[in-house]
Amino acid sequence: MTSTSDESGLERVTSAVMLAAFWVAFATLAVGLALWIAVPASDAGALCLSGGLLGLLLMPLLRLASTLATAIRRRDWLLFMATLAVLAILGALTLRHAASQ
Amino acid sequence: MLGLGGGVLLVPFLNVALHFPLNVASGVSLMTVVATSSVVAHGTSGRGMVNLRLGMVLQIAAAAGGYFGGAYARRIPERALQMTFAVVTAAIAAMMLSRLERRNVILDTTSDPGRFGGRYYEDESGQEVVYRARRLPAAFGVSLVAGSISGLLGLGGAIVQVPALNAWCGIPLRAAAATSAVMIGITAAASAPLYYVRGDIVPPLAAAAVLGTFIGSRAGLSFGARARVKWLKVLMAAILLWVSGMYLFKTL
Repeated sequence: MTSTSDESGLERVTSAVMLAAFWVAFATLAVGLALWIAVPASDAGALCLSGGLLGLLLMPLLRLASTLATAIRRRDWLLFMATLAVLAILGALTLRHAASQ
Repeated sequence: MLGLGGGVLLVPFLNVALHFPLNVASGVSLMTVVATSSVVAHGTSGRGMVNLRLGMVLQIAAAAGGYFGGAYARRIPERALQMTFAVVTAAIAAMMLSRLERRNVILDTTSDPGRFGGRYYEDESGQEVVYRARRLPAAFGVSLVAGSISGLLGLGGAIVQVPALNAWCGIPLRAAAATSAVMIGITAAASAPLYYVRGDIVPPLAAAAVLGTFIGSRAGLSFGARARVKWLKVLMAAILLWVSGMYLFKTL
């Protein structure tokens, strides 16, 4: 994990986006759940719940982007290649699952 | 606290206690794993607990294991798989209990952590500590097995990976748990959209589980940082034995 003192501009932006996405996703889920309990048929509640869950799913992807940025800044090509390999395998896994549906 | 993602407890609870279908329990569990991963990544940011380099290298093996595990899942008898898993988790629990006092940290901060080691501030020691990764091929093999288990049994592989990294490969439990928690989030996020599209993630149920996980993960992170490693290992061993017993019971 990078320390805050030696982060590049790109890493700072990625960290800020991740932090904002993190809190927005949880807040949206809390609001959505409250709306769904108060008014079960409400479209707003369902929309908030779906939006919050999708926002949450973006977090690990942002982390991978952040890791790639960190690897490039540190010129850590082992980390860079490992991250790309993980992305490739997970992409293949996702495509195989999608094809089997 | 232990980097397991919570699925190992949540899936049986939703499936057995609340009678939700297994695919719904697994879908909700994936969302809580992503939530735990996000909380841990956010909560440990800047403390050096997450070892990105080691985590990503091992993630290659885990992801490959998940790929092949999923491909061969139907060719291996489920009973044999469950029995093997029960024996392996019991063996790891016994190994953890036999090494309660071993901490894997070097208090001399001038020590070189090596290519896959790291350093972080540890509350228990009250100082920065260093650790070195040992037996990397074993760690790679364990991650491959952990990924395969994830693909074969639908469980997060962290239940095998975290204790094995700690006991065999010299990774302190806290670093292994934090690294694992962040990595399993990436794997879960790759599978979750498929569950979502199939309708296996019920939004209100998933939201309630995620919000509970959010509170629990933050509390666990805070408690785990202050708790003695010895007791974290005892807790981990207890969970392993519970899981082992559950699978043994299913096979009988």
